[in-house]
Amino acid sequence: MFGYLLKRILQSLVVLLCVSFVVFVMMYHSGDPVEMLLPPEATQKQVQELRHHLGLDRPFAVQYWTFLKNALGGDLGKSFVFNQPAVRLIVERIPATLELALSAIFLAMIIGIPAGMYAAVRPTSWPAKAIMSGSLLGISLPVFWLGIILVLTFSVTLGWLPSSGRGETTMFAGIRLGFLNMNGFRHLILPSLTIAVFQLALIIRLVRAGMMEVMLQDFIKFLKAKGLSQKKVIYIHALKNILIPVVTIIGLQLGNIIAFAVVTESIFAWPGMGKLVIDSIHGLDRPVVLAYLLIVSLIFVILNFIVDLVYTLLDPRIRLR
Amino acid sequence: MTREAWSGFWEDFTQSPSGVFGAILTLLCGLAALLAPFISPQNPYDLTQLFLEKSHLGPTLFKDWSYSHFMLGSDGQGRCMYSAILYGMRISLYVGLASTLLSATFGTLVGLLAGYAGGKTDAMIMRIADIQLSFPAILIALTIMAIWGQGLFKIIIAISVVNWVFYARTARGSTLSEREKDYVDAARAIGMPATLIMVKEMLPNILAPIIVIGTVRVANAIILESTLSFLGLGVPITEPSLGSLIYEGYQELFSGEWWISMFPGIGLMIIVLGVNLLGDRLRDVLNPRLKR
Amino acid sequence: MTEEILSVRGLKTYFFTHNGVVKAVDGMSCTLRRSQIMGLVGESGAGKSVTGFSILKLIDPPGKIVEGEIFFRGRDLLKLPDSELEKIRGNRVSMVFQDPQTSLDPVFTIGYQIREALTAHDTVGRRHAMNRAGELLTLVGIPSPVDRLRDYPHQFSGGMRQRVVISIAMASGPDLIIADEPSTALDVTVQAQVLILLRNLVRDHGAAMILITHDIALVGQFCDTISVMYAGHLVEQGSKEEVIRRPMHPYTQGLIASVPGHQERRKRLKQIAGMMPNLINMPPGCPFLPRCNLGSKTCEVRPVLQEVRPGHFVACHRRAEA
Repeated sequence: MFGYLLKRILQSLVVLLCVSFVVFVMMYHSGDPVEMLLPPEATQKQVQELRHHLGLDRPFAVQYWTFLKNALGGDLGKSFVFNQPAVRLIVERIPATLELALSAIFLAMIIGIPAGMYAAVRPTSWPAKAIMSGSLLGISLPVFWLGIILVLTFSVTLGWLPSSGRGETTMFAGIRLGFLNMNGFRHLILPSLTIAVFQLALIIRLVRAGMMEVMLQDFIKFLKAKGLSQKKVIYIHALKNILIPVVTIIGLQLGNIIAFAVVTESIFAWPGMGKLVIDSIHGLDRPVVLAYLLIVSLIFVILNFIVDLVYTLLDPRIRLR
Repeated sequence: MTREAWSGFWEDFTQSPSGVFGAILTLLCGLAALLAPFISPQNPYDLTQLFLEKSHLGPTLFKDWSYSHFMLGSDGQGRCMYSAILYGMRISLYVGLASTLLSATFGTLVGLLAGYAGGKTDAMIMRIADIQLSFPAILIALTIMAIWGQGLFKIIIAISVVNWVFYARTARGSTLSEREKDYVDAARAIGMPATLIMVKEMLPNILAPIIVIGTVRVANAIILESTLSFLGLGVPITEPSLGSLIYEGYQELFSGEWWISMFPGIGLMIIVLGVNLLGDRLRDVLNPRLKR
Repeated sequence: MTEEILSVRGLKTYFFTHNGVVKAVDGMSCTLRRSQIMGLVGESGAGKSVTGFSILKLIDPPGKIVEGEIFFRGRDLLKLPDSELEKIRGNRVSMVFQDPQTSLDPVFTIGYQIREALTAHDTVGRRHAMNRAGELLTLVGIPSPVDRLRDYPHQFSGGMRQRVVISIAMASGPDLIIADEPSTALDVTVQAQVLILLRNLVRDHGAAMILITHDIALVGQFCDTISVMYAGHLVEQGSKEEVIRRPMHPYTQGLIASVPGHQERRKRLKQIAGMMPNLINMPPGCPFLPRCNLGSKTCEVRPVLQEVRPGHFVACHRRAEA
């Protein structure tokens, strides 16, 4: 067990290294930031000075090495636009993105799992058919368009909910959280709904498919032969059997959600990592984009690792290996 | 495929109304996209056809129900929405199909190789695939486009890079099980070179799951393209895809000009829904286990 | 006369599939008394397992019990509502499934699953249930039961798992046990153990048992009465001595003759030529006709069960004549 853990950690580190290399190479070849920082009238000398100042005139390998060294020390460069350490800019915004991602998943789960179970247990009823049609629609809707429609309906037309920003935040255990006060909560609704819809649809389909497959298994019949009521069979046994793969997939989706938050944050001007990176891309703020990619990669690697761990803990068949 | 196999497949497929519906939708969108230059009242890419005094017009369709110029309104540059949507569909479908074909071909061949060769080649290829799979598609595509810049060709490549792993994994799995079958041994026994075995003998047998994944992935590719275009990292704004149009609409949202976002979005949804329904049904029909 | 536990009359269970109606069980009747073990024999697909499931009304769609009565201690099970049936299942009538690999829920401990069987029928406290579960494991011969209660199904070998399944079946001291090929999926060495265990449990607790199997040699060893099924029909029924020593139906004779060991030395193994027919759209006559040496024109009318010797029933025109 311990050996397995170690192996996974090592694998993760290798992955991170690869990512850092790939990203660095791409960034290196993507254009000259100096050109963008100086006005066109700048003299050659000024250009060269700035280039030297930013360390851009050294050979590639040296630049990469410096970059790695700094990265391990927590320094990923300074933003050209904000003139602050890129790492700080991004880390500041992690709570906002996480709040969005986690509320979306929460919403998706508490609606999706029961809906999927219902659709599996009574597949011919009209609510089940409606649920399945809805889920198909849910995975066909582009996230960004859904966001726009929601804004159009609830903000522009009906004026019920705010359409941008995070609203007020309250401090909790040293982190700024929005959902703890009413204003922040209202700001959270539309953006998390936007992300939740797709996940919801996914979960419904997963749960339904999983349930239908489990119900065909022999042990279900044996449970009935034991005299257990249909209810117990479904809500205790079938449920636990499908929960394991479903939770795993949800955990993996968390990474996707953080990625898709990029779009949602742009639409709702939600002050998270995603909005920052889009702005930075358009603003040609190279260090911030680089830092974002690396930090997000780190988050994914950690997430995947945790999910793997949780999965081995949940499924008794794998646990004792 | 034999005639009996084809008609059996057709029979199964047409049993589900949703599958047929999906096929029809997809076909319609495909036709609309192909015939765009002929059926749209305006060519939205031609700058000489755009007049600023015709901009910001609301949709007239619901007022007089006629197939007219600007029946779905016009955007900030005077483009007829209807025409823009048709041309936009063209791009969406083109990118979706092209990238799918590219990634499917590349991925399948790589997967075939990995599955057939086994050993170190297999391990290495799968390692790369696993690493790539641990990152969300959108981030990879985002990175590529952010560095490379906008462009139709570029985004096709970017999406292909993202998607090849799915095909590779599936192809490898199928290849591994096919490899143990007798016809492969027979081919080897008569001295057929490995590449020929892979392409001529095994490839037709592993195509079914590839096709199923392909249909689903096309929808995925279309959404990915539109998302990136929405963020300004996709196709250039001179040849707007549905995503770019929606972005334009987003900017005009608060002035109440809802049609610029709404209609392209509906168009996008129709394509994706059609492809999803089609893919769903294909998967059910081609999946032997569900045939009870 | 000991108490009559089970009386099945004219059971018909059909499966309504896309391709047609599968008459899995087409008129099955039998009676079982306390402490009796009845062997239900036949090839795969003969309808034995379906009969077993029908008794507990565990038939899922597209299957349906279309006709018949199943009297368990005087009550017709087929007329009871689900709530009543749940009280009987696992309590008064238990079932042991064929494949121990798939009978148990893989994500719950076996201790949980045994306790579940106990608490479903008696309101016992958790402590009491745990003790009882341990006792049951000992009963079926599983060492260090207290530790094993915390284990998961995949941590047991096939034979052990089947014992666990049997312990669950015995948990409430049932009156009837339906054992569907309980040893088929197990190693040869373990098979006999499991069957002996079952027989002893049944005898010690005064229960009745239906042993469903395709192996007529097994039936000869462990059972008191035998019912032979073919293609959904009951073709022969009687005491063990009668059926094994004086088989009347050509199919039964074929089955017995094909048992290795019954053969003369150095002769080829006898087989029954042909295969069981497709159960959809069967011809109206005797189902065994295509494979029967004695078939004649009379056999194109379906034979009914007739008593040819005291307590010995056969469904065959040619035998009844003899």
